[in-house]
Amino acid sequence: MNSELIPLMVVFPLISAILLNLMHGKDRAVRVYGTLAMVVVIAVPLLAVYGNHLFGAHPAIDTPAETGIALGRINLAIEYSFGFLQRALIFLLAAIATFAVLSHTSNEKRASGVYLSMVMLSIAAVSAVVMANDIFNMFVFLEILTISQAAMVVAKGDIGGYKAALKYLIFGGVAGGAILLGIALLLGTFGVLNITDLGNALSGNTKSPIVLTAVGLLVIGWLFESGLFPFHTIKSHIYSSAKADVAALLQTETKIVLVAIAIILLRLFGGLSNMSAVMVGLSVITLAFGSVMALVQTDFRRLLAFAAVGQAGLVGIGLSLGTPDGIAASIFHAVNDALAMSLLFVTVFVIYEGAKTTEFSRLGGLLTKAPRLAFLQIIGIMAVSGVPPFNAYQSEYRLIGAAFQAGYPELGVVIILGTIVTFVALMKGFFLTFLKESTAVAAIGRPQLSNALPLVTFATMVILALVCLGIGLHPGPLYDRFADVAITLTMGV
Amino acid sequence: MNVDVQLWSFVVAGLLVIIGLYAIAFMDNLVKKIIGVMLVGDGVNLVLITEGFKPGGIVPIISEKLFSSGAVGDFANDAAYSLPFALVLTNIVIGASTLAVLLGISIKLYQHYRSLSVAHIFQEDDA
Amino acid sequence: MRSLYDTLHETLKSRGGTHIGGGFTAEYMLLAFFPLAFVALLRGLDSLTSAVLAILVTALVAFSLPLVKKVSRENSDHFAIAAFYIAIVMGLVLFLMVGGF
Repeated sequence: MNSELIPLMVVFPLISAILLNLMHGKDRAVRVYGTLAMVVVIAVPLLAVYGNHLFGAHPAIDTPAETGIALGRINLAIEYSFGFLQRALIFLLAAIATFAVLSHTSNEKRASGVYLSMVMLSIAAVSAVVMANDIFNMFVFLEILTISQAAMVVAKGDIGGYKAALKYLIFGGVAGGAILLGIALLLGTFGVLNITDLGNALSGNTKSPIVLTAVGLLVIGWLFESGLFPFHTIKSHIYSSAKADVAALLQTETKIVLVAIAIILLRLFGGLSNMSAVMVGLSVITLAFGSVMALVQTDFRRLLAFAAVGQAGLVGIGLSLGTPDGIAASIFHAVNDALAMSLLFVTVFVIYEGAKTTEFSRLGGLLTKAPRLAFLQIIGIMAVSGVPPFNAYQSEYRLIGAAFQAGYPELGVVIILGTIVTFVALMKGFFLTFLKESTAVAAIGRPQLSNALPLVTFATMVILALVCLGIGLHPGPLYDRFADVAITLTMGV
Repeated sequence: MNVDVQLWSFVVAGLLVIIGLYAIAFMDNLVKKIIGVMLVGDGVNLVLITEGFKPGGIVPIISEKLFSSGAVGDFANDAAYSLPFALVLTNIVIGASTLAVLLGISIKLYQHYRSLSVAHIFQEDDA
Repeated sequence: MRSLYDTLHETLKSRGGTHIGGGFTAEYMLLAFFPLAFVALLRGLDSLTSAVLAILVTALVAFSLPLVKKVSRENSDHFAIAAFYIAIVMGLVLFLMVGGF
């Protein structure tokens, strides 16, 4: 079936990005259009019917013998496939992006059309990466995503943001080159770009050095896009240099892209034990460094940035196991962690807006000033670090189970350790911000950091906390369907 | 002879990528690093172009006449592989936009630090 | 011989006061993480070799205490450090993929 709404998930944000860019400077138009566009962005993934969209409606054809392509039938069109996984991930992205847009339009005196245009561009890019069944299309939108994310970080306007964006773009150029070279090697060997076709052409036959080089290059690209070791310092620099509401969006996008590319890698090279070992190893290192580095930070935003990177390592572990349980648990954890981490980033956003700093040495004693914020933050901390009854508990528990079942008991121990370190690090942040004896900031008593939170921000935090609790109490509906996706994925390999 | 052309083309592409990576890793000047990023992209583009190259091939433009005269089979046999060229075109556009953003950022950094030395710019980030 | 605690305390203190507790926790967690991560990485080898290597790594880690300061220096935001590790890992990934274990 050729569902009409599927391309709209990419095309609409792209058009909105252009329009918002043109509207820049007309404050009212930007506000109204930005808000309306987000309604559409949220609604489309919910309304669209599951199916595949073929651009130009070119069907699959019998391959002419002269082309030298070994497959009998190949797909001519660029194909977008849309199923439950895609709907869940795109809806999650749309929800967090809506908060970022509303936070901008309600907190800033002048809404910036250019900034909202970059948010839209990143939504389009992530949606396309999630849906694309075409490996070159995936590459194009990954590059667009890198540029738009760098632009969102720069939007904060201080010099740290420029430095982070520069590093991100330079290494993004290297990683993008690696991905494209990998694609070029696969194209030169098999002559097709469609992922289903490539999977058929490979069909477990991955022993040639050219294919193995291509796998290595694609894995390097995956490491960059998902901020795993050795790119974890770059990602955490990006998160901590952006405004905290942007950081919430950035880390959601990173986790979604992590899942999307890992699934493409599994579909193409699922049985390759080298790849699985490399991916597991680097994910474990990311988890270790991310959570340990979170412990020693002196700034709340940097602490959260490293904790978010460490959690990405956790997601990577389950996906690289390659078992149905591991994949399902990882996708589930990616969604849960994106939600809970966003909640934490929003609380830190409020602290920064009120106190104009997130340095622990200058924070303290805020519990009496903002008890509601403290309560929401403690919910976020418990949700991220897997304390029942919140959502990450359900996914981390399943991840540990999947690691044991796959025959990697030590990975189970590593996951538990990582979770504990994350909890300790976040509790340290909570203690130094809310419970420690009051210091300069609390003494001045800035009026903003009070119980009178901005309505949009407060509503977002409450909704995120409720969703975390809801998924934690009823994981079934979501997890079972991720499990179905994972089973179909591993059967297809 | 034509195999030589392709082989040398791949060698040059490899050299471009290696020079680019060297510039990113070892050269201190920000603009040189940015040139390095672009060289990596160009090297990959050259790999793609070389893949599409066909010794003695014809331009891959299909027309009605080919179908009516029944020469489609010969055309498919002789034409160069056109897909990589489309990919290269897209990648050039992406490279140009990345370059624009990178240069914009480096202007900002220069205005702040009055220097393009990466060691100087990132000096305060040593933990 | 001075106690390990004192050595740790002094090293951590030199990086500013607010996170001595966090530094200690990080130190112990790193001690636990390194051998475990190596066990996970070396699974392809047979169990005896991996056990010996894991013990070696633990010994190496134990003799290079305190770790936190070194680890956080290697994870700083500096461009050169990022470039160094990226170059190493890119080479390593390609070597492991093409060369096999």
